[in-house]
Amino acid sequence: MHSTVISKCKELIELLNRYGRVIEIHDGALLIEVDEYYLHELSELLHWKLNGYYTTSIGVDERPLNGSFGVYHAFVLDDYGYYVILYIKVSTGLLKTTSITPVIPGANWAEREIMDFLGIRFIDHPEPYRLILPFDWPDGIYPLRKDFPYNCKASVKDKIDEVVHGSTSTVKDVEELSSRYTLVPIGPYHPALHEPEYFELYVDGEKIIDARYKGFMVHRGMEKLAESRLTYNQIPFLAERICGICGFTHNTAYCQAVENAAGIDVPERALFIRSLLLELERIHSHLLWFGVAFHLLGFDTGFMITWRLREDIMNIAELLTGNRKTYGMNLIGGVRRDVKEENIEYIKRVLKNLENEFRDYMENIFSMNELVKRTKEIGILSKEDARKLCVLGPHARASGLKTDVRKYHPYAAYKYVDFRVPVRDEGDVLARLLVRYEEILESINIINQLLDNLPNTPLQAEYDGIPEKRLGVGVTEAPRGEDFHFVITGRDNKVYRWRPRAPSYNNLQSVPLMLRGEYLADAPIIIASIDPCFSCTDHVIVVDVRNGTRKRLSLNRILG
Amino acid sequence: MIRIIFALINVLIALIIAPLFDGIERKIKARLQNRRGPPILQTIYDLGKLYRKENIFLGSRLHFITPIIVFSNIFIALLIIPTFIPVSIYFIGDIILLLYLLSSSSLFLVLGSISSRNPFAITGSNREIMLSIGSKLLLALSIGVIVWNKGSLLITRLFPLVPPLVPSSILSFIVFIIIAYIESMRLPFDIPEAEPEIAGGILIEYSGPNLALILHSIYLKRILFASLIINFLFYGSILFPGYLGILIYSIIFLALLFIVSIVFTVIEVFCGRYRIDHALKFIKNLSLLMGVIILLALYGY
Amino acid sequence: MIEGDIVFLPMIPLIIASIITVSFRGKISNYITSISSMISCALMLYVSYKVLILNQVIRSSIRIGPELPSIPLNFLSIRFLIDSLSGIFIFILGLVGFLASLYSISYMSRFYDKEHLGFYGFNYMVFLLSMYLTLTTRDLFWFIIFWEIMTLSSQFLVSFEKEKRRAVWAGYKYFTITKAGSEVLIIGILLLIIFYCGMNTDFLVLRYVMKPGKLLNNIIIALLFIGLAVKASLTPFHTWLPDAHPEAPSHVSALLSGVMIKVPIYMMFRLYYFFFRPSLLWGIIVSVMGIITVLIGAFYALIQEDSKRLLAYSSIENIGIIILGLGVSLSFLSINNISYNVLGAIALFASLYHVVNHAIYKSLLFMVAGSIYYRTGSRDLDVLGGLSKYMPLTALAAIIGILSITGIPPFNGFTSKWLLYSSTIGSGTPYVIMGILLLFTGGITIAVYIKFYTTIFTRPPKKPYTMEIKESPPTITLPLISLAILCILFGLFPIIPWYIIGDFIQRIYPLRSYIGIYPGLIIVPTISIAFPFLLLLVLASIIFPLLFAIYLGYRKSISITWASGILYKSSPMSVSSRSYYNVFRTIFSEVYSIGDTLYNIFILKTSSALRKLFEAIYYVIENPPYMIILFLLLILLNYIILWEGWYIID
Repeated sequence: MHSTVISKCKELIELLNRYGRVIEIHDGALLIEVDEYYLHELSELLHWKLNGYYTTSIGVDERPLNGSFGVYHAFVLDDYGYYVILYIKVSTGLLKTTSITPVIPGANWAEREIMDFLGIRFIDHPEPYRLILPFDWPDGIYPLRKDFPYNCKASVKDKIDEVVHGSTSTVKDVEELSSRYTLVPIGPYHPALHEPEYFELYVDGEKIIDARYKGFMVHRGMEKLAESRLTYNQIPFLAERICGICGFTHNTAYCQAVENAAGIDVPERALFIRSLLLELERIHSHLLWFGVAFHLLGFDTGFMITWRLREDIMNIAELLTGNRKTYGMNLIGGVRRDVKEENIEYIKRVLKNLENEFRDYMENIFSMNELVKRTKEIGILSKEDARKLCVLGPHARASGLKTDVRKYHPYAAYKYVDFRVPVRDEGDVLARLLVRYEEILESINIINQLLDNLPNTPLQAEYDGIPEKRLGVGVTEAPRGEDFHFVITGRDNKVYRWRPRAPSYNNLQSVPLMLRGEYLADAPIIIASIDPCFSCTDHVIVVDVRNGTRKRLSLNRILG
Repeated sequence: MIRIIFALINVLIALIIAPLFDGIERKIKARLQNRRGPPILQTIYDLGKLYRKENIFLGSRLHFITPIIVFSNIFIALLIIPTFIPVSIYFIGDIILLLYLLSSSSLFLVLGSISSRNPFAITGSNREIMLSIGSKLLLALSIGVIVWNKGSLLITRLFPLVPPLVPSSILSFIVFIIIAYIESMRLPFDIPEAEPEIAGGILIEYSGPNLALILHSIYLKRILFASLIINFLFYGSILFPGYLGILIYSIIFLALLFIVSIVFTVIEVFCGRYRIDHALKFIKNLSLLMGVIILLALYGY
Repeated sequence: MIEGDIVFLPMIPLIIASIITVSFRGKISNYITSISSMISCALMLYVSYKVLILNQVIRSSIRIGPELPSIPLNFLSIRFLIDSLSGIFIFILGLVGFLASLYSISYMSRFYDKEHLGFYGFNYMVFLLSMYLTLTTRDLFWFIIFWEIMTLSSQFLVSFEKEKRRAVWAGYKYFTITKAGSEVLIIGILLLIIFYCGMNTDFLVLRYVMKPGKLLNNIIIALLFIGLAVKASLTPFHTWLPDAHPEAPSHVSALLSGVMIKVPIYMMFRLYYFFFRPSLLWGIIVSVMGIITVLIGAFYALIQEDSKRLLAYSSIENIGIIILGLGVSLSFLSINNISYNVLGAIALFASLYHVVNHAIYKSLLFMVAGSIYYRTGSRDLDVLGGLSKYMPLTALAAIIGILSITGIPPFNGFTSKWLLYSSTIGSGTPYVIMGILLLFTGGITIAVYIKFYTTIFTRPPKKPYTMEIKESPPTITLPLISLAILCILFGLFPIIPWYIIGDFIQRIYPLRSYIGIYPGLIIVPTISIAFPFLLLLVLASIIFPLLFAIYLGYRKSISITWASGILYKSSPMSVSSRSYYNVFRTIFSEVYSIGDTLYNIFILKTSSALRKLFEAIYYVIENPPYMIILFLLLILLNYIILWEGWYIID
């Protein structure tokens, strides 16, 4: 496998050399510095022709380093097993660059985020509105710039504009819509949602005509905090709190990014333990999601059953790490605690019981006619749309896209285990249910393999500090999809730039498309079927802003 | 005169029993889901708390007044059917009055709820109306067959079902049980009140005593339908003489109500929620079936 | 029996004023019209009082030409008869006419500069006059003449707003369809003249003249019935009504819906109870047509987006109920069994009671719609909304009207529907099915009126209003309130309608001894029942709630509608009327596509068949040999008819 990878890599490098200087920043990641002129062509090449997909864009204030701003567009090439990052320098004077959204609609939000936080304008962006900053944030102040201190309070604007602005690219004129149809607000407070977000649905009786999304209400300012105050080893604990359900993946991704940047080799036992905990988290997250989905379908009994099964997982986690959730196990270079021999038998037994019970219940539940009727052919996302919007994870796999970071860019211990990646073609809610069901069973399989083959090595790597000005990319397959962390190392044991991008960021953009034409009664289950983790999505920067109308709460503490 | 007193006693007992039974149902549901569940008196505590809270006025008088009208309609409906004490206030044609009281309680509930201007409430009300039209049709059909077979519009003469033992009566009684289930606001038919979907639907803008009144009416409606089912089956067959006999009768009646309640609860635990068009299709198919039953009845079967 | 010139009293103001008013255009004309109509209608009420309460039957006649004994034609003298049956309808005419004319004083002020009010006034008064004359004449020949005048003048009223294409087209459609109906009616009358009464078309001559069972009689009755059914808008002839009634000015709509479609009903009563006898066959036919009309009216009313069109379909439904009652009574009264006869009499009572009730609450609702139109200029349910704050009296009247028409106890609609249910469901005959379907449509009616009320009064409008809205002037609200009070009175005290209708019923069958009439309820047949309880029952549904509501009102706090955490925006978040019940429409789409299917079958196919027929005729005409053969055939046919025809009469 290694040799084909090398030869494919050579092929890739040759192809890309025409556009700019190609650097291999570390194993599995390439960086090209390109000129704006080639941007569209290259994006099209990477996203459409080479069967890769766009994953995110990152903006960095590099003025202390080289006097300009930098915009990085990241692409994932599954066939080659590589990440390709396009790097564009944006001059301080002009502050504008070309947008790739016309070519790849999925880049919409990432570019708007850069606009909000760094003040870089993207030409030809179809919807250059504010995405993340609240409506009363003053103009002209860009929080992620290096000259904006993290503990500064920005004064609030006097005039408060319309609450709802910022939309996805699939919406028609609001005036016309609201004069003919009814506006049903789902959120920010709604029993169907666990976290505050706002879906504005335009309905005609029971049919949804169009939908708009405004989120980012759970901002906590983690990126700025990490850059300004925290050391390398403190950040994992912050990263874990990005999300209550999938904290450990963020944690691991960050550590992998820094380890890749610094060239640190993590010992194998640590890799195995990391994978073990990642899979446990996956099972736990999917079970939680099943409970939520059943509750939204009105089937409370299913909700209670799956959450009871989840208790077993949390018990195992407590046994291994000391906490039911938020494990706190990762550090740069390894893990903190070991798995004891005597626990392995217990874990295997519990998992076996779980598997049997779970299979039993699910077979029964999937034969319930009314549940199937409510999920079959509801909320369909076609393969082409999924591609265009760059959705990830089980959502993509249920729409026929075969993508899984564990298989195509193996990290941690995944190269040592054998597993299937479930893919379905229908793209409806039932497909997503089935994909997650099969994933749970696969995860149990993986854990069994891992536990059988735990190698005997130390738990942490020894290293001499982390060199600065290095780029690193760390990617994991979170329960919801691909979790992409981008790190630029800095001085004084601090990162220069850290960009975690959760999978729900990409997945949420597909919601309005899926909601159109469906029944209002199906809206919550469709929204929930992408397994949105709004806290993951919203973690981006916001400095302490006093806002009189809304209090920002993270409901994840309650969930965990 | 004494009939009126007995009828009032019936209703007063029903007022207390209704939330108590809801509490028992919640406990049973919880146990079936491997949970402990709230205490049995929980619903009574909830209603008591709600009655003591303050009411909220939204600027619409209609919205504010309708809960009590809904409640009083169900209250009066309970007066005219025999429940714990097997007497009621009856007169010719009172089955029609019963049906009209039920539909008028739906009407006022929906009117009040739409007047609150909340889009969720309006959606929930639309669903409630459509569901109620459907169940009204079914109710009319099944009651019509039973009336045809028994030959009287007087409620007490409609019980018990059996002396003309004809297939059409039994079949329409089964449909009646299904209707009782639909009207009792349980899964899979709690569509107008679907909480995760439309945040409470018709109940969303009510709080305090108004909400208590509406919830109480819902529980009373369940008791009403359950009483009708029991009366269809057992009326007049377990009577004993004297006041002691009445006491025994009411205890037996209570026990039968309890059984009906449990059966419905167990069905509810294993169901998800229907979407409104699935529910309407279900009702439509059932009414076509009822059409066949009517033909049977007309031919004397 | 009084030879009463009192018959002429109501006519005089109308005749005089109609001639005067033509010469004016604007305000003066309106005042002349309204006030003289009011006087005339008050006189009509007086006439009906005499007939119904004082139990008099009034006859009269007027001669308009010389007496020529050699010509046995009656059109030189118009003879009048007002008996208990006519009295009911004159009562309605007087009541609704009075209030409608009062209403028109303010209402027509919208049109002062736009239309020629003199022309309108002339037509209006001729309309009232012709209705009165149709109801009082006792001569079939004059009946037809007044009937046609009624149609003509009302057609001009319908297309009153000459600039609107829709109004003109609606008037045209109305006129053509009802004219076709009257042609059928005329053929029926001609047959009656030929075979029964000759040129003396007096009603009294025709009394009981047709015996059941003969084919000829059935043909005559069928023709007459169809002719009347077209005017009364029974399915499948109802298609003119949903277009015509909304276009007319609202008080005229009230008159059209409340009174004019009752005139053919009056004639049907005459036909079946006066010229003919109750028969089972016709009872079944009539009631089947009735129930189909009810279903069609109810289903289509559910999907309307225009307030008056919704009311028009609802009128169709209610006419169906009346006809259903008529049919049931015909069937039951024809059977020789006391309990069936009692049921039949109850159905008759229900039917006539519904005539009165419908007149009251439908005119109330049309006037409500008119009051809204007066202030907002719109009938479209999508545009209207949130009016209960600005027009509280109208809203109150509307609520009472709606509660009455949906049949909620203790208002008047409940009693008439309840009587009908008792007679159908309690009969133990296949009529039970009709009763059940009626219950079902009761449910649909509730949904229809919830839509009507909430889209106009409670939910906020989609776009805010551009004009200032306040309550309508007193001459508009006064009729509304009086009709609402009548609804409550007639419901609480059914003895009042009994005074109006009972006389006629007693002549058909002595019903009074079988039923007990109590406040709030009519018990049928009597059974010992605690009278105080009934009072308690009825009052409990009103007073108990009010008291408790007052109590509830003490502990309240004010707030605004919750919208899931964001600010409530009234316009976007309100539901448009199109969205109501659209799931229902999809599920029951078979019912709603009936119109299209029937159009395909009847209009398209018959018109292509007709075309083929015409082509055949042209072919024959252009070929002389075929012409000669056809000619000979026709002579032969005539000969056969004239020869054999005499046998049918026996």
